[in-house]
Amino acid sequence: MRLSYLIIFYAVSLCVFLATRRAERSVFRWIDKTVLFLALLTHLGFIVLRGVEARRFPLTDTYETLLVFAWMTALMGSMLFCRYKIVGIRVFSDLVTISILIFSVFLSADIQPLMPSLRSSWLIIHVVAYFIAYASFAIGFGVSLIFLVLSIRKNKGKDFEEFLDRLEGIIFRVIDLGFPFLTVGITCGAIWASISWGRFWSWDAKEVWALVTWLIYAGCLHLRHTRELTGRYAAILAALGFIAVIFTYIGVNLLFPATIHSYS
Amino acid sequence: MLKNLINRCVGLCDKIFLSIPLSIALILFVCVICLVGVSTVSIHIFQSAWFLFSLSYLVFMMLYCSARRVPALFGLYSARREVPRRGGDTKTIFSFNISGENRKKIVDLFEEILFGKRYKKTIASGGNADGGSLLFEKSKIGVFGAHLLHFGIAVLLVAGIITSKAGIFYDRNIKEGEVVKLEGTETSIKLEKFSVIPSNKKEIAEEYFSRLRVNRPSAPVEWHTLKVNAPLRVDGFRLYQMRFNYDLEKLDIALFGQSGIKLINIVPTEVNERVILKDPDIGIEVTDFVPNFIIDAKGNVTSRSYSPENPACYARIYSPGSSEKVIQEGWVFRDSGTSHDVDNGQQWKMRINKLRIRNTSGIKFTKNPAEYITYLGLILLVAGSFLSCYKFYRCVIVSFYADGGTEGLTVKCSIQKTKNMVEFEREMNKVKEKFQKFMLV
Repeated sequence: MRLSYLIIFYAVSLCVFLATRRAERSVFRWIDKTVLFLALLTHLGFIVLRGVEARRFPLTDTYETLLVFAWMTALMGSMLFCRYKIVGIRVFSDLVTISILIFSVFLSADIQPLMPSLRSSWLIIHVVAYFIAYASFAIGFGVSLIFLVLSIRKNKGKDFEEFLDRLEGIIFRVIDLGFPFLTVGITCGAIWASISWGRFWSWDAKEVWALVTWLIYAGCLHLRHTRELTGRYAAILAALGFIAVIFTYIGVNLLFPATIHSYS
Repeated sequence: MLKNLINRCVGLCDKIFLSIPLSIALILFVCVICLVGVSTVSIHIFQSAWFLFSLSYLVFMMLYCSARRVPALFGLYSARREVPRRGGDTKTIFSFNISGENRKKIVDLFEEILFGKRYKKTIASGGNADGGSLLFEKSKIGVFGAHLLHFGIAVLLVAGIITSKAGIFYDRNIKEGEVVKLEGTETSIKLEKFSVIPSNKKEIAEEYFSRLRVNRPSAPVEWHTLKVNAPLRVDGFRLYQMRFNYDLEKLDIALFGQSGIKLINIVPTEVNERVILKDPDIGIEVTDFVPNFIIDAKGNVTSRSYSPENPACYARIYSPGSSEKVIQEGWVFRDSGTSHDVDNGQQWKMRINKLRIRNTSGIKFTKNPAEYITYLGLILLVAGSFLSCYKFYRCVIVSFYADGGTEGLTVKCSIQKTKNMVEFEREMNKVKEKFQKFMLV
């Protein structure tokens, strides 16, 4: 029930943003920023409350990770909007946040006791790093979609071309932001697995798909820097990377229930 | 002659190790294997020679690519470097005309603004009144990021090969009092005590640990407590508390007649072992046991917890006892039996009479000679990825030249194209604004 209040809060924030974005008076922009700030603060409070109730770091099951993922996406979206002033980034991040929260409503919010192997400080670094990366890639995916939609337009003026170039730059800037955190996530996971399971890498479905995701983004950056990957191909590859992210996060657990990461 | 031969060799190596179609084919091959290998049936595909060869070849291609760029990278630090030519990989930010005597003032202004942005003047060429160029650079170290990342991957591959060829990994379920010898050593480990601390809901364990006694010939006995997430190092081996299982020590099934009142026999059994009775001539075989019976949402029988709160075993009754003809089968409980008949009416009723289960400690023993190499590879991987994605090499070229069409000198500020042009251009637009502000003053 409390989660639905949060969803309404974000929806209101998005409506206020859309209604006031063309307003010239600074008071409207101030209202928009305040509503968003309050939504983010409430969301953070929600996560903290969950942690207090569970008496642990709230990042151990799908419900909790989705909450954090939604918060990070909203936070990153608003930060990147402040930096690049692209309306689509803010709209997309708010829509993704709302969708994730709606999806979370249907999941069990029961607090389960923690497995002994999950009681490790590596869990915090591993999962937090992953979700910083995932939030960046989600924004990258949004910008890629905007790019792909806009690039269909035939009569492009010089300003429009420049705008597309800018979008393209932002896609890679956002991937640049997330990629090192994805690396940290995989690395910490490997170290934790070595401490907990005695092996750095077990070729488990989740691990293999995390590697596939890493390879797609590494390939994307490599091609960008060495072969000047541009235009639609760049956007498609970035979007493909995020599809791999979603599959690693949700799809693997559904298709491979026997994975050793089944608790995540 | 020799130079020609070297050039031809390098050209050939380039064709073999820098081939884009080959690398794409190998990456696709690796991806397909990754996707096929995630199923439990084909997990061994990851240990196959072909997979290892593909990975090694890809990594070698990557290293070769890095190695070919090394001279150019170190050239960045060379004292005899020249300013890059205009055009090509550069983008002009702004240009304007000045009179020849203002050259020094403009240079000072550029230096002041760019030094404020942490740029360093690395080259100044042709300082005469007619022309010349200045090069301002920062974050030069960033150019090594990708190469550090490549090196990290190579180190990890080497570590992986060493681990798969020379690593020792084995698992044991050890009962209390059991002694296990460490492979290749004289050291033995005895499980003195295994304890489980249940959580409040008793469904999962809060914690579990093994009290181990380490015996070495002619050395004092050592005592250690092995916990989850806290591996123990003993004589080059690492011991991990992985899991625990229940070991069924005693299971007696009470066999009743059809009424369920008359006790026919008490049968001591074990899982997967058939007990044959003479009178009546039947055989009882227990094929499965769960300490806390529950049917999950998918309809599968599972155990709610490790503690024997609702124990159940799956029993089959054969008649005659040594035949393969099952006349009755089903789950048998401590409080009531629910086994159903196969043929006609239910002949026997069964109930768990006595039960004793004991936990066994699941301990993993590993010896990984590449452990520290793996840590090195992981550190390089993280450092390389941060360096390549967060430290961007930036190079600003300020050139002065006499343009035939105008009087005085043309000053042109251009930037060398890098992988993060969005931020670079933002920074340079601020430089431009600042410059214009100073010029107006």
